[in-house]
Amino acid sequence: MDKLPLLTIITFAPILGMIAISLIPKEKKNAIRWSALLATLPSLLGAVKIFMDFDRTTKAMQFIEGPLNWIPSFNIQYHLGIDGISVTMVILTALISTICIIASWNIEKQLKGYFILFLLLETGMMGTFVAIDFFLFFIFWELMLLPMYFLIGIWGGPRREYAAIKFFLYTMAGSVLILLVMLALYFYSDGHTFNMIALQDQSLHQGPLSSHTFRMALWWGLFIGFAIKVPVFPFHTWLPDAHVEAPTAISVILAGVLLKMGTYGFLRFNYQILPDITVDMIQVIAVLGVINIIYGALCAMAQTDFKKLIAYSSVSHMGFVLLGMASFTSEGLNGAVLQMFNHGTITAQLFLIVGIIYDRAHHRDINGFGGLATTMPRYAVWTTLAFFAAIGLPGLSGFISEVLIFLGSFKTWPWLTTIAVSSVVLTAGYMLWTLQRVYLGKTQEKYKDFPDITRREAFCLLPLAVIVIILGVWPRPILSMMEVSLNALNQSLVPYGAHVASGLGF
Amino acid sequence: MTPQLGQYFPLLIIMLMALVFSGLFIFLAFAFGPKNPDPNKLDVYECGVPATGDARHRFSVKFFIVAMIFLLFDVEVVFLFPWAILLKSFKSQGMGWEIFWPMAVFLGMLAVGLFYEWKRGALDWEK
Amino acid sequence: MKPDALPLIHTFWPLLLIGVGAFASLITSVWGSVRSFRVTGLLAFGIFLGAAYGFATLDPVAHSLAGGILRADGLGYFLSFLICLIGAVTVVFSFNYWENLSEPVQEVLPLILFAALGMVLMVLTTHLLTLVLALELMSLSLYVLVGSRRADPKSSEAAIKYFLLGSVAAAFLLFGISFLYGATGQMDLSLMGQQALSPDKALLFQVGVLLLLIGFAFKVAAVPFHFWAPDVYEGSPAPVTGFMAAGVKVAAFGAWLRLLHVLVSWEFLELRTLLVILSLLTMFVGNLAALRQRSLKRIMAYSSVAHAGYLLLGLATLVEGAVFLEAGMGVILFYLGTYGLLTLGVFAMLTLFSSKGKEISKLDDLKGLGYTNPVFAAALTVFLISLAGIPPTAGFVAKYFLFARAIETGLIWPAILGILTSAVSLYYYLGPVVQMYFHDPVGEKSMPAATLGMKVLVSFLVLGAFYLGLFPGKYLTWSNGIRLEASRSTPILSGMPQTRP
Repeated sequence: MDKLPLLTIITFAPILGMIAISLIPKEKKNAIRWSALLATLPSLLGAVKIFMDFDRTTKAMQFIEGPLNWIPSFNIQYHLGIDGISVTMVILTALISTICIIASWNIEKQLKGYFILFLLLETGMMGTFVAIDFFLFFIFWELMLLPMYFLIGIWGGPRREYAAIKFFLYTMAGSVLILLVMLALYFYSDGHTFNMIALQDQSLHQGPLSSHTFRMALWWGLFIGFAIKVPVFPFHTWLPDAHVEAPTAISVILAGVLLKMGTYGFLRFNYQILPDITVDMIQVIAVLGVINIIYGALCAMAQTDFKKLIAYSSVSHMGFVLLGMASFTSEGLNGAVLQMFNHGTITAQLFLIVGIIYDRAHHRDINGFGGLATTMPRYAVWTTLAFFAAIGLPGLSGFISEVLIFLGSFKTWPWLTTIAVSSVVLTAGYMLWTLQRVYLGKTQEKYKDFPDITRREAFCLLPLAVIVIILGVWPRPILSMMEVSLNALNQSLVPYGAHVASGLGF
Repeated sequence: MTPQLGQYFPLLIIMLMALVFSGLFIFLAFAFGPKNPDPNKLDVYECGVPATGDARHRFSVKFFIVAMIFLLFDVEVVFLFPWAILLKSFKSQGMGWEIFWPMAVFLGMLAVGLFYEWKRGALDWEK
Repeated sequence: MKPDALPLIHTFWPLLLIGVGAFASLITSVWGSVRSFRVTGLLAFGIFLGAAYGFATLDPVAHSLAGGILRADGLGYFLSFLICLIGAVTVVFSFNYWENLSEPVQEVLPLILFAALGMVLMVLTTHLLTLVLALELMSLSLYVLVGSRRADPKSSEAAIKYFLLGSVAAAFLLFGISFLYGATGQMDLSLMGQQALSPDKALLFQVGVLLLLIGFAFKVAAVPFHFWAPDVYEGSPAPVTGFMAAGVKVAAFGAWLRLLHVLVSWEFLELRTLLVILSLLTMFVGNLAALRQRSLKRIMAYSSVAHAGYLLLGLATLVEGAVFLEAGMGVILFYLGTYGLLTLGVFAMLTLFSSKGKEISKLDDLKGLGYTNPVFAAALTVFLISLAGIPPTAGFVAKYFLFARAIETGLIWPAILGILTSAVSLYYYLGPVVQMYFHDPVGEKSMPAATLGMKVLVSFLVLGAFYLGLFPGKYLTWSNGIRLEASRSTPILSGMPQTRP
């Protein structure tokens, strides 16, 4: 098994599919669709294999490939591997990508270009999570930009051009900062390396890198770079625009996977390479997390656009991840990464649900609907399940991660946590209110003959719903994968003054 | 001022003097000379023949082409003189071919140019 | 003086090949028929490829001929190799551009060869007078090429503008050279470098160096000597613009490298500071001015200004006190090659978009091209984003290496500013992309058929943009191995060293 380059396969299989699709004539739409689906299957199967074979007892990188010399004169290597922090993200990416291909089945405009860009995007996402070499990470990180830009800009809504450029410029600004920090780390670390694992060795941080001010500058460079992607308040304004204009499947990818890259970046770079500054700056992360939670929830409450509401709920839910990370407790960190996974599955459902109703009604005004539960009963059931998961109802996965985060952060930040917990009420408020306005009440005449959810649509939602329910009852399979790595990460912060409470409740 | 530039100081003096004197004489002539304006005096002088037409007159581009060709070949022929004079002394030193070939290449280039002009019709007055 | 004919042929046969070829093409092109245009084109293409092969395989001996008039070293060979490739590409463009005209402009191909001869001579000489002659040969040919769209007043305007400003630049250059000669009594750079300069002549020397810098700044369109660029780029035919943008940059920066190599040894003028200031000005003005342009050609003009700025930053990294850091030339050479490739790519597209001498370069004309002509639109997109420096394309690695080198040599703030302006540049490089993909086509779009050669060429350029972006290692090691001295140089094609110790 260890001879099979599993990570290379899951990363580059979509590229092969992309090449295959570019050879299919564009009239053969079904052939293109099926090849796209086929191209994501190796990644999905690979993810299943990783899920089964992943060694849950070590914090070390696994499934390592390389290092192969790529650009020797700059010591840049092709080096892949996953550990407890990234493994859940890899699985999530494979899952969401496959679902999104199915969800894109009804795309008609420029079908071929759409799937080509989509598969390129998948490679970029996978590569970002599996790269060990910082330079390689950056290449994959940038590789996602262009497909995303085109996917929003060509297949998006009326203001797609504005949204696409805004997304691009925001993300690019972040990339520039990351690039600068990457260069600084390379030149000032002892041994001139891009290897993330090697860079964690603090004894390599010589010369200017040992100066606190300089490290602080680097930390902020990384933090802002990744915060734009999360997005952390006040860098979040691209997100609602991008979400509203993007086609359904792309919103799902955006919320389900892309946002996690920001928080993944925090854990991988800020926490591991500059731990001392992270400990110093932890209040910033915690406070921004709470702002995200409350501000996102309040904004969501004020929206009348269904999709914008979900977008702001994402801002709120990513705030939980920040708060959990800022707790420096085992529960908090595990909760944060579990929340990243759960938010991916739950938000994906929410965006799919919005997409389903938009395909029928061609608008997303919450007040324009009503009584859909009577015309589309099965659809209403799926919606309710997803909404309850988002609210954090016990028995569903969102509850587990939120509770873990609160348990952890209460030990470190009792007051902030108290404020953050109040958002549960806000979340329940806007979610239930939306449920009421869209699904309950008087059925509108023009929506009487809406067809109920189709088999394809249900098929997209099904795996996500199953995961939400299973993880709500039995989160062990996912938690066990990340636990060892995250606890070790948490312990590694202790020498820098982090207060650590150990022991995991599950 | 550095010594190098200092060497050029007399030059500056000469230029200044030239400027001053020429300016002075023009001014003196202008100030004290008799002034009797007359149409004939202001007219264009062309060898005593009465001028016809306007001086700002469009010439055929052919004149320019001929002028250019003349200039080119004329200047190039100048190179032949020193070469022709030195050829013998070089030959007596046994370096005849070394000085012959560069000129052959040079004339070859000229020949290509001439051929080009000829074929392009630059030598025909009427096409 | 005994003319050493044998080493001349031995070490410079590709140069002679271009020279002889230029005259030969003048003869074959003279009939003015479509057939003679084709014959001349094939001849020119063959000559360029042959010369490129020659420069790539010749062994650099760092040997000067005839008092420095010609010098055979790694740098000269490498840059000549690039110029020959650029020339070959331009010939293919010209086929596509002029061949379907009823009467092709017949001087175009010989002039391209003459211009290339000038460029190659420029990078192969250390003698200042030869440098000026070569520069003038290149420039004069280019002035005519720029004006070769005779029916279009814009083309004539561009030619006149380029001619006037080019002459001013040449005047600066000559003036500067006379100062250098006055200060050192030498015309050959390599001899000049061996000489100690008496302090009383320092002023003359400094003025001379400044004038030289200004002269070359004109040629590469560095701010504040860039005003001609947008008009000239817009007015000249697309193939010529591509040739000019790529070729002149290679030649001028080659000459600049040689000058710096010698000039740094007198530690007087703050050369490094001067270059950094010039480069910052150039990248800022170039990138900001490009934001407001509505024509792809003008965008490319300002982009060429901006890239000149990045290359100037590269030059600044070479100067450290009185030491010329030869090892740092590699990133500049890599950047030059990449820039040439990508610029030619964009102009290949512009050539395709032009029909019957009528040019299409307004952004509005590109609307919906992604749907009417998906393959070409995709190729143009690749070139543009690569120029903007997005991975995994060549433009990214080239910029990355350059800025990394700048940071390594302590130019941290200029590098940061450079990276920021490069991020700004994304906006205008995406402008055409937005038009091509985010808007529906307007009106009838009839794209003239591309010649087979053009299709092959564009495929090569696209592949090159990705190949250099994904696997730059080998080529970086190669360009890092290029030297001005003999001992460390190797021929370009044989024995590329695999790793740097």
